[in-house]
Amino acid sequence: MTAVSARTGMTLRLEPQPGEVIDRNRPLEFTWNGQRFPAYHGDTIVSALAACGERIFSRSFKYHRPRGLLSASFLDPGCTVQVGDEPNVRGAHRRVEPGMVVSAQNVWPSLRYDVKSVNQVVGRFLTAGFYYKTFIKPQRLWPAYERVLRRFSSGGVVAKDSAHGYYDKRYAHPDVVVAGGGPAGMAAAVAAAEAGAAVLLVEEEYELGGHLRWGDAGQLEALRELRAAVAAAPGVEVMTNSVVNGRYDGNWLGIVQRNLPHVVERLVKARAKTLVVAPGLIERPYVFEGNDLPGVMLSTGVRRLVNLHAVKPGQRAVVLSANPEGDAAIDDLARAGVEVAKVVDGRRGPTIQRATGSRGVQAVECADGTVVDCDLLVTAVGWTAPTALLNMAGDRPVYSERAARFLPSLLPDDVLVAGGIAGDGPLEQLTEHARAVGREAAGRAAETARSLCAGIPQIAERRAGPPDPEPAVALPELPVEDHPALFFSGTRGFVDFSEDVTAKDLIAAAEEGYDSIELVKRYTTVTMGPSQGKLETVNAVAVLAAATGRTIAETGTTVWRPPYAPITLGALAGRIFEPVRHSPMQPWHEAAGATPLVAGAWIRPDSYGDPAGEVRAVRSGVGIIDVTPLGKFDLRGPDVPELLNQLYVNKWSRLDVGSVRYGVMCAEDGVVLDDGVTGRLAEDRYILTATSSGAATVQEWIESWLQTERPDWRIHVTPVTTAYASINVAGPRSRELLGRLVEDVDLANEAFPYMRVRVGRIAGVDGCFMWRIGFTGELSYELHVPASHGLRVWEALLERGADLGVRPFGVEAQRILRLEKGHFIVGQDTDGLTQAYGAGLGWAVKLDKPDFAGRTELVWQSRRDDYFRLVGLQPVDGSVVPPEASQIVLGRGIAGRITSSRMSPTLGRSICLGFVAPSLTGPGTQVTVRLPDGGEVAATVMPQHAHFDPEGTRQRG
Amino acid sequence: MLSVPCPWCGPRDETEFSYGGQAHVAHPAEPDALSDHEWSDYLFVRDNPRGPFAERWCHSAGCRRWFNAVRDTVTHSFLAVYRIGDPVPEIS
Amino acid sequence: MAEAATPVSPLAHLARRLATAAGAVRLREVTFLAQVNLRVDADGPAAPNITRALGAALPVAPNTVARHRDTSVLWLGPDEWLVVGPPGSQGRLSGELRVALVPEAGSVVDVSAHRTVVEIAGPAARAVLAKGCPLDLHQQRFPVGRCAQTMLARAQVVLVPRTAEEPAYWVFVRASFADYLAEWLLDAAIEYGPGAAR
Repeated sequence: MTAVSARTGMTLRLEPQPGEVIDRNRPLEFTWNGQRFPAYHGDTIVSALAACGERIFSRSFKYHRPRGLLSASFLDPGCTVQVGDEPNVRGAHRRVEPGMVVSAQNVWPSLRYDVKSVNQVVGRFLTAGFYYKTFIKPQRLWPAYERVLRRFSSGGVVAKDSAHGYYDKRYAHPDVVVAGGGPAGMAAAVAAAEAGAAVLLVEEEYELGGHLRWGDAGQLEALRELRAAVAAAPGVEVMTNSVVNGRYDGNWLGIVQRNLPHVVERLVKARAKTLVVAPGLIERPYVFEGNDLPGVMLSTGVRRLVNLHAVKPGQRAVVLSANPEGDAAIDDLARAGVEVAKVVDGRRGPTIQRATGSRGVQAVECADGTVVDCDLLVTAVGWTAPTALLNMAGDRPVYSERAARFLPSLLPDDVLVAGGIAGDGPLEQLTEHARAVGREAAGRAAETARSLCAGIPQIAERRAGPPDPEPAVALPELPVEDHPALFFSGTRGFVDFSEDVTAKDLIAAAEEGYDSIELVKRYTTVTMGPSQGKLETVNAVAVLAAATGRTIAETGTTVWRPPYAPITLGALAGRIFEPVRHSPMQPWHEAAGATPLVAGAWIRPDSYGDPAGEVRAVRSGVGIIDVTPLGKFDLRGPDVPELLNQLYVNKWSRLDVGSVRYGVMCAEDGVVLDDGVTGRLAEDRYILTATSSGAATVQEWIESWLQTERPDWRIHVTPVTTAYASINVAGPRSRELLGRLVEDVDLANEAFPYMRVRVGRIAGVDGCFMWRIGFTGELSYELHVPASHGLRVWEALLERGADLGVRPFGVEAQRILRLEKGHFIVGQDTDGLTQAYGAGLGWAVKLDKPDFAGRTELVWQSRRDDYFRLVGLQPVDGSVVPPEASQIVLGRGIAGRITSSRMSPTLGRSICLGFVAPSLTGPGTQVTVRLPDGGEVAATVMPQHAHFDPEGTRQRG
Repeated sequence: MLSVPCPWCGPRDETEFSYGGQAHVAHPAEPDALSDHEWSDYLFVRDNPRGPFAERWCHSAGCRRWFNAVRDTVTHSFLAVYRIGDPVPEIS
Repeated sequence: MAEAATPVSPLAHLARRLATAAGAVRLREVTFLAQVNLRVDADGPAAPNITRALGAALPVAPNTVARHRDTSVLWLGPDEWLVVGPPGSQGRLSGELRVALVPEAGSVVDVSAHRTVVEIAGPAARAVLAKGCPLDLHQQRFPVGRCAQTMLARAQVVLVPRTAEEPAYWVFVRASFADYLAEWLLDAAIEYGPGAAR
C-alpha cells in the first residue's frame, strides 16, 4: 500500500477482496473533523474512516449518544455527516472525493467530547413526548426555551452563501420502470427489454447488484452475468445512485436521478406504463439494551464492510444469527481475521440480554447467562419488506406469522413485484420469477400503449409501442420460507435510532393510552426520521403488540407515503422560472429605467421615477401608458349581442357600429366578476376587453357559456390579448398629439365623440383601432396596434409629442388618476362577496332584461339595503394617507375598510375609496379609520366616488 | 398527477385542464320560478358521492373544449368521457 | 408623412443569444409568419371552398396538420384551425378565407402578432423539450403530421414537428410569453451547448 502522509493509516484495511469496489490504484485524501484521512476511490466516507479505526461517527438526536456503523448502507442512522456546506449527508453511502471536508453534525465542542451528551443524564425527563408536558409555563420564557432547545436539537448547517447547484427536471415515458437493481430487478429489466419494452432501471447504490455484491464466488459470478446482460440489452436505461421516490395516480413516478455529470440532481417525472417493484429486503435491527452502542452491527453491514470495502469490522465478535445470511457473515468474519468468540443461534430460542460498554461494545450478556468480552456484536434476526411504493399504489401489505414479515397483497394492474419482497427461494428461482415478471410487465405495457394510440386516428395504423411480446405466461408462485419472529429482548433498547425512541418509550405511550400504532407513531415520533420506518416500523409494531396483548397482524402498520428517501429542496424546485409576460414596449421601459412591477404575471412599469409628476403631466398636457396586458377578445357571429346581454348586467341588444360601451360582468351569485369595455368595430366584429388579471377567468367563463349552456348560439371568440399592443394616450392635449400620427380618422369631437371606436392607420401602421374611454378621467384615446408595431407607435408618440410635453406614465400614476376619478378596480375595490349594488353599480344593472348571469341575486339585492357600500372618502387631515385595508371602526365593531388610498397631486390631499356599513353612507358622515399602528383618523364620506371632476366634463371634450 | 382523457386530444396530464365541478347542473331555464331554497341549491349545493361521479373538465391548455366525464372519486380512475349535451353513459 | 412600418419581433432582442447557444441543439425565432385563426364547421357547406382556398382539406383528426406548399393548417379544436403561411401572406389568406366562408357563420381573425415561433432543432431537440413538456415526443408517437397544444415549462404552446430527418420542432408561443420561454430554452439547452462537457 502506498504511503500516505496522513495522521492515521488504514490499520483495518484487509487484503483485496474478490468483490471489492475500492480502487487501490486511486488513493486520495479527505478531512474528517479537521484531520486528514486516507481513502481509496470507491470508499464511502464511513468505510474509509472505519478502515483507519474510527468507530464513532455521530451523536444521536436527543440523547447525544455516540453512534457508529449499523448497516453500512444508505439507511445507516448513525452515519449522517456534514460535507462542506451540504448537511445531512448519508456517510455510509456517499463516496469520498479528493479534498472532501467532512465534519460531525450537532456536536459541541467535538464528536469525542460532546457536552450536549448531558442530555443522557437528564434522559429520564426527555422521554418521548416530553415537549408536550414540559417547557409550558411560564409562557413568557418560551423564546428562551426555544433558543436553548434549538442548540440541542439535531441537524447540519446550511450556509447562507452556498453556491446554487444546477438542479433540473425532465419528463419521461418509459414502458417499464424497474425500481431496484438487485438480481431480480436486473433480470426483470432484461426480460422486459427483450420483450420489446423501453425500460428504466433505477438503483439506489452506485452500481447494480444488490446483495450479490457482497456474496460468495457463485453469487459474484451470477452478478457478472446479470450485469453483462443488462449492458447488452437494447432499451434499458440504467440510473444508479438514483431512487424512485414516489408513485402517484396512473403510475406517475418521481425519480431522483443523481448519476449525471452536469446536474446535481434531476427529478425525472415518469409516466410508466408498468412498474416493477424489486427493492429486495432490508435487514431488521434487534431491540435490546445497549443495541445502539458502536460495534453493534447488522450482518449485512458487516458483509458490506468486509466484501465491498475490505475493512475489518472488529477484533473479537459475538454473532446472533437466525438465518442463512447471518451464518454466511460468520464465514466472512473468519476470512477477515475476526475472532468469532461465540455464536448464538436465534433459531434455537434464548438469544441475548444486553450489550455493555462505554463508547462502544465491550461485552455481551447472553440469555443463557454467559458474558462474552468482544468489540463487535453482529445480529441477523430477520428482514423487513420495503413496501412503501406498494403502499403508495394502494396496497395494504399483510403480515405473515410464518415468515415474520409483511408481504404484498393487492396490487393494481400496472404494478408488479419481483425478488425478496415477493417471496423466497434460491437465486435461480428468484431470477426465473423475475424474468417472468419482466415479460409480463412488458406485455401489459404494450397493451396500455395500444389502447392509448387507438383513439388517435392518424397513427392507429402505425406500429406505435413495443412489438408483440411472447404470449403472457401465468406468473410462477414464489415460496415463502419460515423465519423465527425475533424483534426484541426485554423492554429496553432503541427502536428508532434516528429519533432516539426506545422500547420503554413505546410501552409508556401504550400505558398512557396511545394504543393505536398511528397514535404511537405521532406521539413518540417513532419511524418519523430519515429512514421513515424502513428500520423501525416492524419492531415498533412488535413492541406495541406485546405491550397491548395483540398480535402484529392485529396491530397493523402505519402508511408509507412519498418521499421514499429524503429529497432535497433543489430536486423539488428544479430551475426556477416564474412566467413573466412582456409587452412589446418592455425593452423601452427597461431602458428608460422604469421601476418594475409584476402584476398578474405581467411585468409593467410602476413608474418612471416620479408618479406625482406623471399624474400632473396627464392632467395638464398629455401622457401615454402601456396597457397591453388588457385582456382582449375578438367576437364574431350574429349572436354576439345575445352573449353580451347574457354576461353583462347592462343592455347590449343595440350597439351601433363604431360605438363602445362599458360593461360589468357578475357571476351567478351576483358578485362582480370583471369589467371592461366592448366595442363594435364593424357589422360583424366586436372587441371585448377584460381586466388583465381577469382575462383568463373571463375567457373560461365565456367558453363555458358558449360550449355548455348555449351551444346553439353562432358566435366565435378568439383571444387576441397579445396580438395587440395597447397604449392609452390621456390628457387635454391627447387629441392634438394623436392628430400628428393618425392619418385617416377625423378626431374632432363631433366626428369622434366619447365612447366611440374607429379603425385606422397610426404612424404608418395599418389594422389599428382606437376608442375614446375615460379610466383616467381625461380626454383619452386607447390605441390598439398590431403587436409587432407597438414599439414603433410608442416611440413615435413620444417623439412627435415632445413639444407638447408628452410623458410616459406608469401603473402607479394610473392608479392615482383613476382614484381621483373614483373609478373602481375589480378585486381591489371589490372582493369575493361584493355584489353589483354594493360597488355602486346600480346604474348599470338592468333588471328588466329577461335573464343574465347574476340577475336573480341582484333582484334580491336591489330590494335590500343592508349591504356595505363603496363610497369615496377623504381623511379630514389631507396629509394622512391611510394604508389600504385599514379598518373603519364604529364603537367596538368593524364597519368597513379602506380599499384604495393615495395622495392626490391634483387636489393636494389624500383621497380614498372604501366600504362602509349602510348606516354610514350618508354624504358628510364622519367615520373613524383605524391605522395599523393602532392610531385613528377621521374621514368624511363624499357624495360620489369621484374626487375630481365629478361631472366628467374633461373626458367628453 | 391524474391522466385525464380528453375526448379529442387523448390522455393528458391534469395540469393541462381546469375542473368544472358537477356535470348536468344547467343554468335554470326560469330562474325567477325557483324558490329561494331551490335557487340556493343551484348556487351552492353539489353532490359528493363516494364512487362514480359525473363532472365537467375543460382542456384549457389544449383544445379548450369542455367535456363531461365519469370519474370514481375513490380510485380516481376515469370510467367514461362524453360530450357536453350527451346523457351520462351506462357504467357497467 | 409615414414611412413603411418595420415590424419588430418579440425575440428580436434575444436573437444573438439564441444563435450562440447552438450546439447539439439550435434555437432561432421564425419571425412574422402569417397566422390566421379560422373557426368554421368542417362539415358545413363552406368546406369545399376552404379546401380550394387553402389547397388542402381542413384536417379533422384532432391534433393533425395539413400542408400544402408553404402553408400549414393546424388543428386546434373541433371547429378551430390555425392557418400558417409565409410572412406577408396574412392579408391574402384572410381575404380568401373570408370569401370562402360566405355565407356560413364562422370567423377569420388575423392573429399573426399574437404568437411568435421558436424553432428548436438538432439531435438534442427532443431532450431539451422533454425537460418541460409532458407529452411523449418519441418520433413514432409524435411524428411529422401531428401537432399539439400543451405546456412547455409554464407557457402554453402549440408544438409542431417539422422534419423527419432530424428532430426539429416549431414552438408557437404567445408573444407575451416569448421572453420567458426563450430564457427557459436557453437554460435547458446549456448541457447541449457548444461549451458543454461532452
